[in-house]
Parts: sequence; structure tokens; C-alpha cells
Amino acid sequence: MFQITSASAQRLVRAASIGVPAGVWAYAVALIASSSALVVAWWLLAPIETDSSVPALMFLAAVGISGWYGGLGPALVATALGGLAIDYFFEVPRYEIQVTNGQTLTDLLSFLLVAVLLGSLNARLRLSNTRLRAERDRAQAAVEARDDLMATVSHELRTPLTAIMTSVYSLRHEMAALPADKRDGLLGTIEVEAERLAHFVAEALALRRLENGLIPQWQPTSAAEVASAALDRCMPLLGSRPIHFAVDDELPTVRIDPAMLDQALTVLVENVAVHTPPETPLTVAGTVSGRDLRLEVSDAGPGIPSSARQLIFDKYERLVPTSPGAGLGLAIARAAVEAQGGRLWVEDSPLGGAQFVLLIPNAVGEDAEA
Amino acid sequence: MTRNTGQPSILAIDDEPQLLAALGTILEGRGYRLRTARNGAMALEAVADERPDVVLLDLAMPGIDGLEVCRRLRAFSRVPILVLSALSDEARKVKALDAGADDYVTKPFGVDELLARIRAALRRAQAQRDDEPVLSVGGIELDQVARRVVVDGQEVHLTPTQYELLRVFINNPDRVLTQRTLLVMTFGPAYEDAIDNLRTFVTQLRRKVERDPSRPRRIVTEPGIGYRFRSEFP
Repeated sequence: MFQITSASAQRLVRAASIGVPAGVWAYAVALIASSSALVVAWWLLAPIETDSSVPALMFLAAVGISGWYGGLGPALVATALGGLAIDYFFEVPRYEIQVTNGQTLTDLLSFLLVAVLLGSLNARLRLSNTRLRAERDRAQAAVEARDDLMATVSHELRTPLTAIMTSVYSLRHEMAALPADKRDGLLGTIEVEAERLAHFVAEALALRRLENGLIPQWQPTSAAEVASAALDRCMPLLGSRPIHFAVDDELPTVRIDPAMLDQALTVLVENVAVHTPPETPLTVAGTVSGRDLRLEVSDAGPGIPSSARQLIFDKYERLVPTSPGAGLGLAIARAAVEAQGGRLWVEDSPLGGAQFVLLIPNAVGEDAEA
Repeated sequence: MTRNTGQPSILAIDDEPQLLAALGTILEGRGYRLRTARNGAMALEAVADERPDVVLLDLAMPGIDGLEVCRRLRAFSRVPILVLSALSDEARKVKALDAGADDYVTKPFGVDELLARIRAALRRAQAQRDDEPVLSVGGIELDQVARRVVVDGQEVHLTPTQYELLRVFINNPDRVLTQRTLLVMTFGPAYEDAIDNLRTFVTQLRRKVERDPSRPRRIVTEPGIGYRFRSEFP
């Protein structure tokens, strides 16, 4: 089904491989086509004695071309120009714009009727052709994106699995020959890689659930409670860095999904632990202004260059390719925030590094659920 | 639970034999006795016959599923139940906790984490046996006769609501209490939907028992699930 659509679209595209001139150009085409029709009709056909029907065909061609390249507007302009030209140059009395007899009236009306039909049909054909092409491009892009995704996912799965399988093989078949420290090393590899695998599977699953439209479990929530819990869970990773926690436990109650907020904040705090030097400070701050909940996670690390501030939220994108993880954290965080109708972005931090800002509008108040 | 041969016994209920075998090696190496059950029916029989000290319960099992096992166990036993749940089991996990499970770990779990949860469950079972008028957990003393509360050596004054809430926490240390469970245990079944009120009471109670109420150490939040009163904290 998809392939048939694509193939016919390609045929249509090949049939007219010139792009659509935009705006002014569309009308210029109408003008040029109509003028050409006049030139052909006047200079070439004038010597031959003919009635107005042959010039009318020329002008119809101009209308057709204008409809195809310009759309309905230019087609109507070409129709009007053609009608005027036929009346002025080819109808008796010549060189006057007036309808004096039944023959002229019939000629003009039939021209106008056919021209409008032809013009609008061509315009519509062009439009659907353009849409088909855009659709085909989108489908193509989607297929390519899916292939990229599959390649990344299989890489993330295969790499740790390969390490685990080779380590197990060594332990099983060369046990006797292996010194104790080598054995420990292999066991350590198995442990680390298995954890990496488990982490990746958990992240991929969490993101999939969010992408599939996981419905938030709205609950009256204290943002301070959730932020504090997320920070606590990350404490072992954060080590001895100075932490400033500025989410007042007297902030108004917000109606959000606490588990999703927790998920997003945990990613942001974990990122600080992984991507900024130990001993550098971390701030978690929260405010409610109007009915909007705003939480900030700020660090004093290297920051995010402005060119990468959109990209880092895409899945499998990593700012530093050698850093641990599959590049899913921020995609999860953003999906978890957006599922609650909020936004997540990054800006410069007053601490000198990156500041991630999580904003959930209308979180306070009775109709926050809407 | 009163039978005691020195080694705490653990019943693991899971339909995956490899996991049961690995758990056996780990737990027996740490001085626990492990019994295993491959399905819900066997599990119910084993709990009735052998009275384990802790139950590890997989939620996703063929036959009688983990949630149902949890409900039926609670009909006749107060043994601590530690639920093993997969990430996609979130909703069932909360239901299991509502149905009386004590705690959960998410598969795949780290062994250290599992051992810590088992120790906490055993501590709780121990505390339950001491049915004394004065309870003392994690630096908080609660005199159930005089209704006096002492935190880190300082007497604090609690409203009747705060006192009831703290009593529930102290009687269930290191256990995840869902919002619904807390409301029912503190105020009775008519209040099981008053989540907003619960949050307010917890905040007030924290001001009385936490050193830094905005960074609670004793009464910690499990976002979207409920609260845990920790008997040991950093």
C-alpha cells in the first residue's frame, strides 16, 4: 500500500520536475504564459485566416501552465488575461473591449468555462502532487530514523553482551590458567556490563512508555518533597560536592504526577554528578509564580554550548560521546515533563555551568488537571 | 515467626529457577535459610507450614499472581513481604503495597540493595515482637501510655493527629507505607482519599521530628507511592 503510493508519487514528481515558484513568481508565470500565447496567436496565426477558437486554445494552454506551476490564483489571472486578449485582438470588432454580438459572447463564455475548469483541475493536481512528495519524504525520513535507532539500540545491547560472553568464556575455559587478579578483572567486567545492560533496558523501557503516551497520575504534590527525595537518591553519586537546596516546603501544593517529576529531576541531578567535576557545587531551586511551577537544577560544570541546547534532548544524543550512558536520560526527562504539559530547557547557570529549567504551567489550582 | 533456630528463614517465590538458585547461593552464604516456591499455591502452603521470617514475592507469576498471593498471605500471616517487581509493574506494585506488602525492589536489583531490604524487614519483625508501652526507633521515643514523644533527647509536643501519624510510622519502621495505607491506619477507612491532608500532616510532623524539615531524613518520600520511616539514616 505504502509502496504503491510512493511509486505513483515518484512518477508524478518525474513528470514535473520543476519546483513551484513562490508568490510573485507564480503570477509572473501566468503573465509570461499568457503573453507567449498572445505572441504565438498574433504573429504566427494572424497571416492564416482563422476564427477566435485557435487563439483560445493557445490561451487555454497558458491557463493550464499557470494552474500547474502557480496554483488557482495565477490560473484565474491567466483566464482573465486570455479572455481580455481574445476579445481585444481576435473578436470582431477588433481592438475594442466590448461584447457586441452573440458569437463573441459564446466564444468568451466557452473560453472562460473551459479555462476555469482546466486551471482549477491543474492547480489541484499540483497540490496533491506536492503533498504526495512531502509525504514520501517524511516516510523516507522516518524509515531512515528507525534504521538509525535500530543500529544504536543493537549497539547498546550487543556491546555489553559481547563483553559478558567473552568474559564468561574465559572464566569457564581458562580458569586454571588465569591468575587471581585476571579472574577478578573478568568478574568485574561481567558485573559492570550487566549493570550497564540493566540500566539501558530500564531507560529504554521508561522512554518507550512515555513516548507511547503514558497517562499522568495527577496528585496533589509537594514539589519540595519530590525534589528532596530525588536529590537523596542521588547522594551516593554526588559525593562531597556542596549542595544548595532551595525548594521551600511551604510552596503551594501542585497537581502533577509525582513519579514523573521524580523521574525528570533524578535524570537532571544524575547528569550533574556524571558530567561536572567532583567538588563543584549543585543547586536545586524551586519557585511558584502565578500558577506555574518552576524548578531549576544548576551546576558549575563546563555548560552546554548554545548550538547543542536543542540536540541534547534527543534520544541517543550525547554531548561527549565517551561519557557513560546511552544518551536517553534527557529524552526521558523531557518526555516526563511534557507528559505533564510542561517544558524543559537548558540555559546558562549563574554558577557558571548549565542550568536546566523545568516549567509546569497551571500546576497550582483546581483546574490544573485540564 | 516465634520459632527461632538462630538462622532467619526466607521464602523466595519466583517462577524463574535460575534466579532462585542464585538467591540460594547468596543468602545461604550470609547465614539465611532459603526455602523456595515456584508458584502462588506452593507459596501459600509454605508460609502456613514453615513460617518464614521474610517472604520475597515476584509479582509476575503464572497461576495465582503475586498480588493475589499477597492478599491471601495477609489473611493469615503478618510475615514481612518484600515484593520483586519489574519496571512495567508500577501499578501492581502500589496495589501490592496497599494489600499489605512491606517493601519492594525493582528487577533487576542489586544484591546489596536486596540484602539491605531483607535486614530492614527483619528489624521490623523484631520490633513488632517487642510489644512495649515505650517504642524507641531511630532516636525517637514514643511513650504510648503517657503520649509523650522525645526526639533526640528533646521532648516535642505533637497535636493528636501528628501523634497518631508518628505512632503509625514508628510501628512500621523501614516499610513503604502507601498514602492510602497511612490514611486508613491513622484516621480510619473513611479518610482513604484525603491525600492532600496527609501531605499537610506529614509536613507538620517533619517540622517536629526532622533536623532539617526541607531535607527529611527520617520520614522520606517515595514519590507517587507514599512514605518510609527510616530507623537508620545518614
